[in-house]
Amino acid sequence: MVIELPEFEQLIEYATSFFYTKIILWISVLYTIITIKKKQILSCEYRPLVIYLTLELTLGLIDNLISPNKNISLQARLYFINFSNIIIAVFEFNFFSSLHNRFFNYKKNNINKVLFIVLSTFSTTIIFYTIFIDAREILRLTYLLGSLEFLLIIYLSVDYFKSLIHEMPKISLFEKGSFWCFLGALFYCSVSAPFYVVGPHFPTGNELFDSLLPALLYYMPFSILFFCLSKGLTCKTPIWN
Amino acid sequence: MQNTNLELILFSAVSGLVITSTIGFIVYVIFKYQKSHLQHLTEIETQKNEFEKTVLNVKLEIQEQTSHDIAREIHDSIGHGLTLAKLQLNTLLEPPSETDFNKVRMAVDLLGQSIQQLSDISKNLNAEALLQQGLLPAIDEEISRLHILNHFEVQYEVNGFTSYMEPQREIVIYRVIQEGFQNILKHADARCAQLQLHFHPEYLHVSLIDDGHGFDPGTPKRTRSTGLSNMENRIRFLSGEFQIQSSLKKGTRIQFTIPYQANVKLN
Repeated sequence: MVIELPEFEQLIEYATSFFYTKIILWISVLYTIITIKKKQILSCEYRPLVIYLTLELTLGLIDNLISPNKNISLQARLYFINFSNIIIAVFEFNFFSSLHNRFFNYKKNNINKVLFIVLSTFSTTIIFYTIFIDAREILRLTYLLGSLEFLLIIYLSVDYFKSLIHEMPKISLFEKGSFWCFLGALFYCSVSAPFYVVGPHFPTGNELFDSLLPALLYYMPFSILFFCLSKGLTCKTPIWN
Repeated sequence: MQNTNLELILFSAVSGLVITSTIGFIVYVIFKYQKSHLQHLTEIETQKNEFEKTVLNVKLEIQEQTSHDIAREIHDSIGHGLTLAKLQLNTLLEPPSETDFNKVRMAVDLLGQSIQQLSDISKNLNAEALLQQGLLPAIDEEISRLHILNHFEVQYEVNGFTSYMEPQREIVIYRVIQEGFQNILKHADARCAQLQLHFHPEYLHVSLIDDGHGFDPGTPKRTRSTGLSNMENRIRFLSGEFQIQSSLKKGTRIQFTIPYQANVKLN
């Protein structure tokens, strides 16, 4: 099967949609990757982050080729969006879960394992289930999975922030790598979770509303997350401290 | 249409609530953490200061103990031996010839001078004994010694009512003044020095001014004489404040303020 590439104008139009916030998102992902490359962080603790970023960038670029392509059926495009969203959700959670685990010196390993199993089972079920349902349902399930993932990350972030209150503060909070990572995560998930709840109702028909809301409640917080991760990577302490 | 508006309002309200709560929570954690962090830093600073004070205290105690031991040795052994030698020479049974008599006389005089000098050194080293009569008589004695040396004129002034101070404090003040005079003697080439002690209700203010050739105050602390930093450290040890003002060819002014009690904070 040969997939025809969309026209250049279509690509540009898709990339610059949502008030250029998609471009800002790619810049932020690239910036994080460059930060990792600059700092030559190659230890195994950073592997979940590297995998997550690589997937985010690769699937994002593929999505940019597939989504505006009218030669591909809506069902197929939605399958791809669903599949890529699920993969990113799982690896995103995997990264924050491993960070949380490492921060607590593996004392909360069991909770993290249970949460990861719940998310993975739910994701696998959705992947198989979507074979038998129509496009609109797929989108609803994808948003549902996203909301679940956000709730789990919010739980991990709140747990982290709660522990900070009781911690012996040897260094300033702004010099802690983990603080920036969980700050970005909590902000992104808290802002985007309500959007994911109403996500299946999009597009609503109101052009401004349909562009502004995802830009403000999804793409911007998502970019902020990556800028926070970059800041965390440049801190004196490793991101799990 | 109405339903859509209601959903929109509801969605905005929920989103706003979630976002505000998140930001509030994050701000609360940051505030709480940074407050504890500042507290932690203050504690570390206090511990560090306490440790430095203890180290300085031990150093001063060792210095005083060493001086005391040397003074005792001079007095008990050397001084005693010299006194005996002088006595022996004074009680020669047979009167020697006139030449020998003069030599013995000179030897006795030399021994007498040496015994006196050793006694002075011994007293000077033994600050505890020196301060048995109090800080002011000890300073008087130090000034008398300087008058005898006749290198520079000393003007001495005491204001206010004297207050009780722990002997340890008096020793430190005395040593700092002594160090100040030593510096004038060795480096300043001064013609006149002025010492002022002002007893305030809660603290003592001391100033020592000379008209010597001074030094450049821009000189880094580490390249200055150890005497100055010793003086500063000793004053800090007593929770006091120390100040040096100097300029080339215009003399030097050393001022320090020491509270009578350790827990009194200076204004």
